[in-house]
Amino acid sequence: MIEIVQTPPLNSVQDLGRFGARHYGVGTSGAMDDVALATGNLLLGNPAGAAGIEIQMFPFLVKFRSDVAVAITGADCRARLDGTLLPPWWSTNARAGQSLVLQAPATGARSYLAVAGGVDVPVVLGSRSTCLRIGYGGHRGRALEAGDRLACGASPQARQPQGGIGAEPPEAALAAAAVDGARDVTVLRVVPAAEHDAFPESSRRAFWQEAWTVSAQSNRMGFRLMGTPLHLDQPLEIRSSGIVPGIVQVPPSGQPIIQLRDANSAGGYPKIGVVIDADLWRLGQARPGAKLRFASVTQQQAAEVQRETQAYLAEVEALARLCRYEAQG
Amino acid sequence: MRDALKPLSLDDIRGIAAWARTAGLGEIELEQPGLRLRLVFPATGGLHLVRSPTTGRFFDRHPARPDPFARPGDRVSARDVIGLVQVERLYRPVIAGRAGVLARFLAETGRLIDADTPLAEITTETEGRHGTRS
Repeated sequence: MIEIVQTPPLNSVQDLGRFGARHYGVGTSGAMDDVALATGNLLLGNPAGAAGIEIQMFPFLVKFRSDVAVAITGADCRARLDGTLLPPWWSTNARAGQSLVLQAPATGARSYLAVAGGVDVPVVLGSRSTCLRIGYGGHRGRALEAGDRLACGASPQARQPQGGIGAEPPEAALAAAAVDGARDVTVLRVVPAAEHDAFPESSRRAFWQEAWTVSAQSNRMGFRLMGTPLHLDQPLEIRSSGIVPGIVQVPPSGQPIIQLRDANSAGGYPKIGVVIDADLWRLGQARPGAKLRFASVTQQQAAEVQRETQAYLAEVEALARLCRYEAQG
Repeated sequence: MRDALKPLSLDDIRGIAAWARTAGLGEIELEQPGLRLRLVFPATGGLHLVRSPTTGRFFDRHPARPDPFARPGDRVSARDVIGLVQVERLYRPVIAGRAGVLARFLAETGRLIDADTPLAEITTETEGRHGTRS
């Protein structure tokens, strides 16, 4: 059992998303940085998709009401367990009565708190994720509030080795999409989408070659980007069609929108590209003001990146299991 | 029978003290007829060796943080993490183990090291002066 002692709005229970109901208009929700949540879970011996807490507003303070192993991953929030500073991407044993404080990260946007056994909230349509936009799933269909108490699921391998163990952050472990000359530009791999070729050469060049800035109108639903406006030569009549997290739509303003985890399940703006699934975690760590650039890849290349990410997670899982066996002697 | 023994000179006592310190003794007591000598060394300057928990690559800092966990001269507590040893995708902590001052690292950051390799020296706090008894 963990108790939320202090939290700003918009922090919520998330797992890896709600799949299989999009044809009813139900979006996926789920962790904005899915790799961070999965890594935290695997360090603890949980299934990768166990529910954890996504923290995007700080400071965040919880008190443990029972002994439980925990992992803190994602943006480095300089977590302190009863005052002791923990390394980033770290798992350790918390004892009943101890407090965990997460501070606003200097870089990155979202941190994840995973607990052994997972956060045990009711499963809605196959997932424990909170849909903040509509208000269902997670803890009572809403963001977490001070005083909330969350149960942890049963966990057979609940103890971490003495002093804890950490994972190599994916920023270090996974090859970047590309090295951009300018520092602080996140390069995202994008597969051209249905209406890509309808855009004139000038707009296509701007899309692929210029840097885009994440605007302040950006949240779990989507990021609105600022840069050279993209325009069609003539308006396109298209029907609303299914959209997925990562799709880059171009509304009449010409400022692209990347739809993300809490996006609608359908939309009618022209689609110029889709950020590959395996790079969505990089967007989850981009905050307003961050610079993005798009690099064109094929579906085969996207699948290859997905395999690299899965291999990273599998290595974390296998080694963490070994460390826990050793520790339990 | 006091004929065979010369009384200890000050130089003798200095010599004994130096030898006892080198041997790491906390206390030494000598008796001669008519003389009882007791030397007590406060345990300042005791060194604690921090050893690697496993075979892997040693780092004095985390890749996501610019600063090292601790610098020589920093005060550390027994539970502080002062480094990491990386094994493939995982990090094991290098834990100070004793409270004191980090004297120096014995391994360069980024080096491959074996399990039990000494990684750092900690100058431990005075561990209680035994022997103010007369």
